[in-house]
Amino acid sequence: MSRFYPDSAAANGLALCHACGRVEPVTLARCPRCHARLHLRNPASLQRTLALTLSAMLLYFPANLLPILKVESIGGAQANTIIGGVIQFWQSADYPVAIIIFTASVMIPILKIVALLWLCLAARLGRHPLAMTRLYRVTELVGRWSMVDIFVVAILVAVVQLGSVLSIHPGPAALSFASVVILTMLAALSFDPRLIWDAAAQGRPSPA
Amino acid sequence: MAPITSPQKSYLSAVWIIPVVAALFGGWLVWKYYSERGPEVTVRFETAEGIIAGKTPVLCRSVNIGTVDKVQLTDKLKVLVTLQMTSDAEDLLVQDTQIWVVRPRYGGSGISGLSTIVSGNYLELEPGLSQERRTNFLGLEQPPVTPKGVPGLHIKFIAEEAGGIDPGSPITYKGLPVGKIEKRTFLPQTGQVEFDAFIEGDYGKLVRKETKFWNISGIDLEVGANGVKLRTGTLEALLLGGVTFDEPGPGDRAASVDDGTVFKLYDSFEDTTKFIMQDPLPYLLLFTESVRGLNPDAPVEFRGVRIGTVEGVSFRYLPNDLEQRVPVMIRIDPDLITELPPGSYAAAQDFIARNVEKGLRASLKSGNLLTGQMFVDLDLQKDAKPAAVRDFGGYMIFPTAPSGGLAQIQEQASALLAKLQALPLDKTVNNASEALASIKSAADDLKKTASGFNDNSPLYHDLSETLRQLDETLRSLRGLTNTLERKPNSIIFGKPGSVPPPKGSRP
Repeated sequence: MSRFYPDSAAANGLALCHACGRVEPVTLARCPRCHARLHLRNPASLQRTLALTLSAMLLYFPANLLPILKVESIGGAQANTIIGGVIQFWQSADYPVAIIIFTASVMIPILKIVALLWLCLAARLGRHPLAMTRLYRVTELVGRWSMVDIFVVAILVAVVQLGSVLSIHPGPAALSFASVVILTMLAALSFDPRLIWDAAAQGRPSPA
Repeated sequence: MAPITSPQKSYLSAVWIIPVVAALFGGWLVWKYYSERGPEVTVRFETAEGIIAGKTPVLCRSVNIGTVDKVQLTDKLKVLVTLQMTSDAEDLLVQDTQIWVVRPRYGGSGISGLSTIVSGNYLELEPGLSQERRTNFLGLEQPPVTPKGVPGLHIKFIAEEAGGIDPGSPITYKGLPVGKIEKRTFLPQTGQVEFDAFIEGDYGKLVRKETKFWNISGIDLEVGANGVKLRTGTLEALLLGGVTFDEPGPGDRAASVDDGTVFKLYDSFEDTTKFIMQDPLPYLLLFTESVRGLNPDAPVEFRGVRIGTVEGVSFRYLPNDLEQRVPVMIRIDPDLITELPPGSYAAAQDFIARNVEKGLRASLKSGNLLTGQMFVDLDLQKDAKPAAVRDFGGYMIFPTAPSGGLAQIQEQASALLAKLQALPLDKTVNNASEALASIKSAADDLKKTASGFNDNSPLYHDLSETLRQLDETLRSLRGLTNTLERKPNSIIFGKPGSVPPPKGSRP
C-alpha cells in the first residue's frame, strides 16, 4: 500500500466519517454512529473539483462581458458591466472603491480558478505538498468574500425601486457571477487536500 | 487485506454534467445578450440638443427599440449619433425610415412632445415601407406630420406666397378635413413657396390632374364685374390657414394622380376661376372713350362668351396722336375661338385678321351697372368701317368700335341734342305761324263756300231735281241693257210680245 504514507490512517484502513468525524475502519462501509458512508478519501474529488472549476471558468465570461446592473431612470436606461463600473469609479477618482471592486469581483475569481487548477495538478504531481496545502487554505478562506458584488446588486435591486423615477434590475451577469462564486466554493469544498500528501507519498504521478 | 476504495477511480463522475450545463447556460446568456443587441445605426443631426449618450432611448410608437450609444461631432460640424438598436428593430431600419428628436414643440397643430419635459427627449423612429436595409440615416429636424405607413396621397403645392399656411394646416374638401400640410419650404431660385401635403386614404382619389387647390385662410372679399363676393373657410382654417380643392370634373374620374405630383396653390377661389391661357394672342386696343371701370383681369367676351382677359390699361401722352387714345392690352385664347389644333399660333392670328375684315370689332361694355365695371366685347358689326389688324411697333392693334350699350346711347343722345340745338327754330316757328295764318284764311273761304249749300237754297233744289232725273234715266238704261243681254237682236226686231219663263223657274 504505497499509495499512502505508511503511518497514515488510510494506510491502516481507517477512514474519517465526513459527517461526525468518528474514525472507523473503512471496511464498515457506514459509520456506526451516524450511518454516513465511509470513504478513505473524498470520492471522485479531483474530477469534481476539475468539473466545477471548468464550469466556473465558462461562466466567468458572461459574468464579465454582460451587464450586471441595469439602472432605469427618467433620463433613460443604463446597463453596466463589472469592468465598466470599475472604470467608471476609477475615472471619477474613487480609487479605493475601484480597487475593491476589481479585487473582489475580477481578480479573486480568476486567482481562485487558477489556484484550484493548480491544486488539482498538485494532487497528481505531489510536489511541494506543504505550500499546496497552504494555498488550499487561502483559497477556501477567500472564496466567500467574492460574493460582494452579488450582495451589492441584491441590496440595490431590493432597495432602489422607485417605479418610473428610478429602478435597478439585475443584469444577466449577476446570475453568472453568482454561479462562478458558488461553483468555485463547491470546487474548493470537493477538493480533498489529503490527495496532495498521497501524491507526495508516492513520489511520482499516481497511475490513475 | 480489506478492499480499500481508491479515491481516484477511473470511472467518469456524473459531476461532469455541471460544466456542460455551465457551458450551455453561459453560452445561452451571451447569445441572448448579443442577439438582443441588434444592429448599430448612425443618424446625422444638426444639433444634439437633449441627446445623451447611453441614456436617450429610441422609441417607435412608444416602444423602446434602442438607445443612443455615442454622440460625436463630425468634421462638417454635424452631429453623428450612433444608435444601438434592439434585434426586433432590425426590420424597421429601411431606406425610407424617418428618425427625429421628440422635444416639446409648439406649432400650428398645437403643442406636442409635452411628456418629454418630464421624461427627457427621445428619438422617435417611424419605419418606412421599403425592403432595403439601411444603417446610416439623416435625422429630421422637424417631426413629420403624417406617419409614412398611413395610406394616402403625398402631393406638393407651389404657391406665390405662404398665405398663413403652416405645417399642420388642414386640407378640407366640402368642409371635411381630408388631409394636412406637412412641410413648408421656400424655394429661393423661383421665389415660390413649396408645401408638402398629405391627403388621407380614399380622399386621395378625389384629386385629379385638373384639380385646383386654393387657400382658404382668412376672409376673401372681392368686388368685381360679377358683383360683391365674400368667402370664408372654417374657423379652424381662418385661424390656422387651410387649403381646399374643387370637385373632380365628370370626365376625369378615372385618372388619379401619383405621389409627388405638384399642384399650383391658388391664393383664392377667385383665382382658380381665372382664365388660364396656354398660348394667348396679345392685342392692343386703342380707345377714344373713357376706360373707367376697365380693370386688369376683366373679361374679353365674344357675344357673352369669355375668350380672353384684359392684361392692362395704361396711358401715355403721345404728341402725334391727335385723339389721345388709351391703349388697352388684351390677350385672347386661340383655343376658344377656333377649332384649330392647339399651338397653331399663326393660324389663329390669321383667323382673327380675317374676322376683323368681316367686321369684328372690340368695344367697351358695362358689366355691372352698380359698380361700373367694364369689359371688352368683341362682336361682328355689319356697318363697321373697313379696318384691319395693324402691326404697330411690335403690337398688333385690333380695331375698336364705339361702345354700344349705355355709353353708345349716351353718345347718340348727345348728338341728337346737338342737332336739335343747331336747328333754326325761331325761323321755323315764324314760318309756321305765317303758314297757319294763310291756312286760316283759306279755311274761312271754304266755310263761306260751304255755307251756300243748304236745304232751302235754289241750287240745292236744282241739284236734287237733276239727280232724280239722272236716276230715272239710269233705270231705263238698265232695262235696255237687260233686254239687250237676253235678246241682242231685239235692237233690230224690237221687243218680243211674250218672254218665255227662265229655266228652272216656277210655273
